[in-house]
Amino acid sequence: MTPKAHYHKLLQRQLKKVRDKNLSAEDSMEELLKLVNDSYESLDRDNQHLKIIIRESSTELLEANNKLKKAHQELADNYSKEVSLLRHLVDKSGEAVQVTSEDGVMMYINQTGAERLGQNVDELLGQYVGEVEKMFVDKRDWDEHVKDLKENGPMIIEGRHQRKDGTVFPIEANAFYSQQDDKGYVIAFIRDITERKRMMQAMEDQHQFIRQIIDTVPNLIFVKNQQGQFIMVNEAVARIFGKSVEEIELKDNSEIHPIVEENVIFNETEKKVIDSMQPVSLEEQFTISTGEVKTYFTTKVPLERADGTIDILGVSTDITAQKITENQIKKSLSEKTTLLGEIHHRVKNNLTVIFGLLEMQIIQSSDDHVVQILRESQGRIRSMSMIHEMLYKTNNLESINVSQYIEDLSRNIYKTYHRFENVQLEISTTESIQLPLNKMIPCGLLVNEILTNAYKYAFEGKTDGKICISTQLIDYNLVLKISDNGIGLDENKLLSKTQSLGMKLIQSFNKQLKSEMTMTNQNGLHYTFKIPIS
Amino acid sequence: MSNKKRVLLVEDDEIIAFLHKHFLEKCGFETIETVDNGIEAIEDVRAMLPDAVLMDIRINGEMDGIETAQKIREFSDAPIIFLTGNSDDGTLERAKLTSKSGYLIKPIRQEDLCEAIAKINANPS
Repeated sequence: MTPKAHYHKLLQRQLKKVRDKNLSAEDSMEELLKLVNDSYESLDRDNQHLKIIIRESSTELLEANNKLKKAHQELADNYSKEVSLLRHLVDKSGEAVQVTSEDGVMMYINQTGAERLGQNVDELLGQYVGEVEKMFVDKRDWDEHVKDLKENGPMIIEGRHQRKDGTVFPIEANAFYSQQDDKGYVIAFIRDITERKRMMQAMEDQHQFIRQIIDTVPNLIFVKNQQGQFIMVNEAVARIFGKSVEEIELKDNSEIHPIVEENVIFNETEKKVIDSMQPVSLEEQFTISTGEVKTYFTTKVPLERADGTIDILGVSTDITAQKITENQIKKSLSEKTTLLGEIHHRVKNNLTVIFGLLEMQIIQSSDDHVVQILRESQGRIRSMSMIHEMLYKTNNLESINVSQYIEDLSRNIYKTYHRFENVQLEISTTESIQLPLNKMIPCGLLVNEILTNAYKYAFEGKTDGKICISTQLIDYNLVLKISDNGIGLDENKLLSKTQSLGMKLIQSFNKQLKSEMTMTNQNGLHYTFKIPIS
Repeated sequence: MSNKKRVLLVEDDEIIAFLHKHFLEKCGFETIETVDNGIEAIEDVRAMLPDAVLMDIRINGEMDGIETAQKIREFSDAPIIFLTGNSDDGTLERAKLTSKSGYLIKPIRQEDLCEAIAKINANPS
């Protein structure tokens, strides 16, 4: 209720009281005066109260206003800071940021963009975009670009920007079209890709260099996938197929090589490489495009790619010429081996003839001493003849199996002196000992002399006995032992024995063999020879 | 006609053939022919019916002495003495498969030859 209404109501109530009680004018005035006084007092109280309220409200309002001002200031400060920060970020961003109006006028460019162009921001603003972007020198190209962006959305394009000094550098722009307040803009984030281009060029140069190397080498170099398709070949491969590199790539053998038998071998080898994951090397026959059959030495290795797939890397070397030479050498060697064998056969036959001629003389001779001398000569010839025979019959033209030879020789000598049927021949030999021809001849003659002497002299006056022969391999030495349990030599005979032809021959052979000889004369004669093998 | 045993000599080395012929004569045998290859040996055995054949194993032609002997054995029982070397066990084993045969290891002595022929004639197997 307003104060006016309040006091109006009080007066209405006082007037009603005067009428109802028929008060006199004096009483009425007093009542009215009283009422007025009361009202004044009430007004005064209200006034005081109102003043307090107003004062209090004003204080609150002032405080609120101050807070509001402060908040507003903080907000303004923060906004300014954020804008400043954003501007700083955009300006100093690694990428150029450029806003261009739909008709190609540069509306905004950040500091980075301007610096890259060698200009101030202010110089650039308002310029036609084609002044810096070579792609849009012609306005129609810009219009086409804007249309493209409108229809197809954001895109990444590569171009070339021109600096103020006229130099040009490659860029990549991530551009999109945006509309604000009925106006269209092209916003682009532009990256200087000079370094990327340089690296790509370096990689391309490196690739070309490697390509040049693999195309220059005469070896065949190729990579096949597991489907058997060539995924990389060098020029050498292309040449033998009579095709270009491009014609071979992504083709398998059957599509470019008509020789099925050769393809089967290639495929089997490659399967082996994949199955085993191990390199495989082999000699391969390959009929090249001219029809000539070549021989290649090929190594195929599993090649694990970065994505985990396994391919096959192959390197082949043309060894056709080497194979021809190798075959010629083999043939020549075979011929010479055959010839050498024939020579040994001829020598053996010649010795057989000499043996036979001596035999004829033995038949015609009536002198026992002469016969004995001729028989001894026959024995020496036979021991040599056997060596030549063994050389050509065992296909080993270089060395002789000592065990086999000594067994054969000993039994032959035993047979020659078969009148000593009760003399046992005991042979103990090591199978693996081989002696070259130049050592086997004196060794054989040595054994012949000692055995012949043993049969001739060791068992005079005895009805039985034993001859032992053994061979051992000890520290690269052939240790040959020949002993008998015969009568041995008495002191008188020992001196003359050492001067006999047989003993001189034994010492000569021993010297030729560079061996160490020991002879003991106790319960028969015992010879030991330590013959170096090498 | 002589009572001497008639021997066909198969040997490709002329001097050795000469020596063996001499030894055979000393043993009381007659060398009726000397040939150096298997084909002629087979023909001569068929035509001349020798009492024995002295057969070197290594002879001229495609057939060796053992193969020749096997062909001869298809139509003749004439004793065959093979001449072989020492280091030839495999060859000796093949030779031993031929019936009514013996062998001598070269170089041979006359008395060994006489013994061998006499033995094989006395004990045909």
